[in-house]
Amino acid sequence: MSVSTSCNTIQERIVVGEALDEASQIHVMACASCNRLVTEWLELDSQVAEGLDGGVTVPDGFAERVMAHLAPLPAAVSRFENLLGRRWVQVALTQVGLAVAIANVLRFVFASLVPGASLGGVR
Amino acid sequence: MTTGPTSHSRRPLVALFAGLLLPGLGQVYNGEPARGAALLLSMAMVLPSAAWLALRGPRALLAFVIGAGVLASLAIYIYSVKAAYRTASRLRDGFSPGPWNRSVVYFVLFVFGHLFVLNPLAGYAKGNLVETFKVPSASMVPTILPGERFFADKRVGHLGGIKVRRGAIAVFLYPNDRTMLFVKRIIGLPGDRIDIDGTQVKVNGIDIRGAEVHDLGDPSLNGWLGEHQAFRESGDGGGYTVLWRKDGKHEQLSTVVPNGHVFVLGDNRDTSHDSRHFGTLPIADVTAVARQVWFSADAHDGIRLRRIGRLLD
Repeated sequence: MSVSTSCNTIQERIVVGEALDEASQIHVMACASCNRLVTEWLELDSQVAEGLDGGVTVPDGFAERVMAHLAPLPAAVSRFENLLGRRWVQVALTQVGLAVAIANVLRFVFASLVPGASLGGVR
Repeated sequence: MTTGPTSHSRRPLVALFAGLLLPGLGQVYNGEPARGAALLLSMAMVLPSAAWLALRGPRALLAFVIGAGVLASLAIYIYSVKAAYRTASRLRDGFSPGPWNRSVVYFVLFVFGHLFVLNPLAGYAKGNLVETFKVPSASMVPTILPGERFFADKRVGHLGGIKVRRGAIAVFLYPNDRTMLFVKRIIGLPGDRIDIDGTQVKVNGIDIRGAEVHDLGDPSLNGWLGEHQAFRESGDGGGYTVLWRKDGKHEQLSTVVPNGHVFVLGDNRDTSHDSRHFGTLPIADVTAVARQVWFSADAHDGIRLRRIGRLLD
C-alpha cells in the first residue's frame, strides 16, 4: 500500500468517526497531513460543542418554511372512500355496471319487438 | 421466463368486458377508435334503418325486415365483442397506447354511447317509426286475438306521415283515462254520418255491412260462431270481418263525427268499449296504426304460429 493511499484511508475513517487502530494512530502522529486534519477536526468539534452550550437561536419562520417544503399528509379517508376501496365492493359495482350496460344494449336491440304498452293497460 | 401483460399490452378479458359495456368500446381499448365508432354507429343505425325500410317496403315483409334488423343489430354486437377479444389477444405484447387509451376517455365514451347514441335512436324508432303493442282483450276478435303482439306504424299525425282512413286499426289514447291506450277500428272520419241499427252500420247513408261469414278461416276462431254472427264490412282499404252476439241487445245510434275527430268500433262488437260508449275521439289522440302481427300466444292455445305475420287491414 502506498503512503498516499494510506493517508486517504485514514483521513476518511477520521471524518466518518471510526476508531483508529494502533498502526493508524502511529501514522497520524508521524504524518503532517493526517495530523493537521485531526487537529482541524478536533477544533471544529469543539466549536460545535460550544455553540450548542450557548444555545442555538432558530430564525423566525424557520419551522413554517420547513413544513411548507414537506409533502402534505394524506387527508383522512372517508368511510365512503374506504368502502369503495374494498375489493368485493369494486367487484360488485363492476358486475352491476356490466349487467346494466348489457341490459341497455339488449333493450336497444329488442326495443322494436317488446311491447311498449299492453293495450287497455297503463302506458 | 414468462411475464404477465405490461401496462402497454392489451388484456383480452378487459377488451371483452369493454365490448360488452358498449359496442365498439373494446376496439377503442385496442387502439382502433375509428373501427369502434363504425361498429357502434352501424349497430345503432341498423334498427331505425330497418324500421324505416320496413314501413316503405311491401306490407307483408314488415315483420321480416324488422326481425332481420334485430338479428343484424345483435350480430354486430356479438361481432364487436368477439373481435375486441381476438385483437387484444394479438396485442398482448408491443402495444403503443394512443391519447384515447385512458380510463376517463373510456368512461366518457361509455356514457355518451348509451345516453346520446343508443337510447335516443331507440326512442326515435319507437316514437316515430314502429312500435309493438300487446293486446290482452278480445274486443278486436276475429282480427286480433288476445295475447297477440303487433307492429304499429307510428308515422300517423307526423309531418309527411300517414293519414288515417276508414277501416284502419288505430291505437289511441283512451279519452276517459289518457294514461291508457286502446285499439279499435276507425269507422267514421270527420264530417261522416254514422248510423247503427242492430248489426247494420251505415256511413254517410251507405251500408258497409256485407255478407254473413260462416267460416272464419281458422278452427279455433270458428268456435266464436256458436254464439256470434260474423259479417264482412268494408272500409277504405278493403274488407274485414266483425262479430255480433246472436242474443245481443243491439242499440240504435246516429251521430255526425265532429271536425278533427274519428268514430271507432271494436270488431267484436258486443265485447268492445268504443265510440258508442265514450263518443268520438280527437284524431290527434291516434298514436299509431296497426300493421302486422309478429307474435301470437296465450295460455290456452300456446304459440299460434299460423297467426304470425298476419296483416292487419
